Amino acid sequence: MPLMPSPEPVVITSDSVAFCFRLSRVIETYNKGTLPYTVRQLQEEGTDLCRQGLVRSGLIRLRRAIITLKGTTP
Amino acid sequence: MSKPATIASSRPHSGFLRLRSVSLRFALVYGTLFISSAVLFLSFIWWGTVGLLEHRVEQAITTDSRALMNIWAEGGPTGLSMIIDDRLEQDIDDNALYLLVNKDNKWVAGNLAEWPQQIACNNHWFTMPVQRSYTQDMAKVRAYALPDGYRLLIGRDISGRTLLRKIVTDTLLWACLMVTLLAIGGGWLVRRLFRHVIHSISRTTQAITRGDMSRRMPVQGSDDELDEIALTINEMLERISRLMDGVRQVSNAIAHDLRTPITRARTQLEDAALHAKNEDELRAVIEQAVGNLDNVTSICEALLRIAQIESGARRSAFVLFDLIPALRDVCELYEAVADELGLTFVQHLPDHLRFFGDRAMFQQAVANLMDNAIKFSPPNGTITLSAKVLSTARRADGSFGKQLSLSVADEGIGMSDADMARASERFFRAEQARNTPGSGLGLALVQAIVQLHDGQLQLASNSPGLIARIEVPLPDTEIVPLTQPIAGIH
Repeated sequence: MPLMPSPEPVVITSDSVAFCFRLSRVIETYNKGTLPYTVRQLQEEGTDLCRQGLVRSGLIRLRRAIITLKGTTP
Repeated sequence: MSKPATIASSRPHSGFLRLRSVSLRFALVYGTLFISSAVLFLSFIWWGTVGLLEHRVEQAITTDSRALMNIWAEGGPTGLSMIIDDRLEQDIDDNALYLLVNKDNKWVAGNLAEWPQQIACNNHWFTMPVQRSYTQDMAKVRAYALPDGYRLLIGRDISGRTLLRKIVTDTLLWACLMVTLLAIGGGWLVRRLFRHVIHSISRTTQAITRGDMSRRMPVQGSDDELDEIALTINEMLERISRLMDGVRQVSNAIAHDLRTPITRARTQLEDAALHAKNEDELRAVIEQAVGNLDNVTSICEALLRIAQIESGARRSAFVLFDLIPALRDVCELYEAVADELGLTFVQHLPDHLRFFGDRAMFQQAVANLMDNAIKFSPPNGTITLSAKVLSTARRADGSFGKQLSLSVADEGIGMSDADMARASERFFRAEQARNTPGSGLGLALVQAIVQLHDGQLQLASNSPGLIARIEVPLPDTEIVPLTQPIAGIH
């Protein structure tokens, strides 16, 4: 398997506060106004964590919220 | 006069790490085998963990690529972009990497900022660094060419796997180190044990070489292989001691038995030289001396014959033959002698008896027993020769099978139990037989012949008299043709 000879690292864009907000917007637009309590709580926690700089933890909560949302919404 | 070389001086120089040492070689082989086995085992563990993880990453990317290709075929760039977004939104493990670019290398979808320049769509796996917010990780990726100049990069962040790989590798290296230490320790113990055993044998054999035949190997009583070796060596030493005693005893007996007739012949010749009055007297004395010297020759011949039989060289003359005619030949010879002495000779023999052995030699053994029976029988006594087959007898070697039981019984003076135990020794003569002519080699010869045929010679009291019984295994096979009997005793 070729190993790239000390290349410049490629930036991952899904590891940022901007991506957090994007996920939050996805949740907002998914089912306007009537989000389940669990989803709403995960979204709020995730967004808060991202604002505090804990991006990875925030992303995990937001992604859980999306998965829950897709699992409960027809 | 030169100083005699000692055992110690003839041994090679002894050092702690002597490569010519068997114990060191033994320990090295043990250590090498131990380490090789451990390294092989740990390699399997490494391959089973790290290798499996790597394989699973590749498998996940390949499966993912097939699904995305189908999406592309159905929905084109728009459909693929939506699916990539969906996947990134639901990537709970946060390790998926996607990048879709168009023919102008412009970003279309995915979570990588730009297409890495070194990565081409050539069906190869690549490992490349990726920059997260605070860390730099490694990722495994593969690029796929799509229609209309689009390119898709799919990958996984393998930083978790790399960490696990480091942990497993470190653990296995430490395990290797421990195994090496254990191998060295084990090798040292094996060497010490081996040296202990070898030195014990060496000390005993050196003592024996110096003439101390009473020394024996120490037996621990643990009933293990070392005790087995010690017991075997001790048994061997016992046998050597017995043989040496036997040789000494036989040498003494030979010297004694040869000296008597030689001294007698010398005295007769000296007396004749001094006192013979005429030629006839002189001739008579010379004939007596020749008779005595013939006796010496016959003793030497008998000894040589016993030695030859005991060496087993005569076994090549073994054939399958009918024993009964051979026994009748011997009986015919001794019937006449028995008649002359007024003895009754009874035979209990079957019609035929297949036997595997040396015909002439077996006749010699029976003739010796008959000769003894006639010599020691009182007037009007009865001598009985009988032979029968024991069908399921236990043989001398422990096996079961047909066995010949041949006995010669007389009504003579017999023997005490102590004399019977020693009767087959060379030159042994019972106290009652001192005045009977003979050299004391007859039963020794019989014993040697019987042993050559894998049989046993037993003596028992006949009340009155003696029963000499020969038990010899008979052949199991019936397909070997009988040889033609040879007339006469050789």
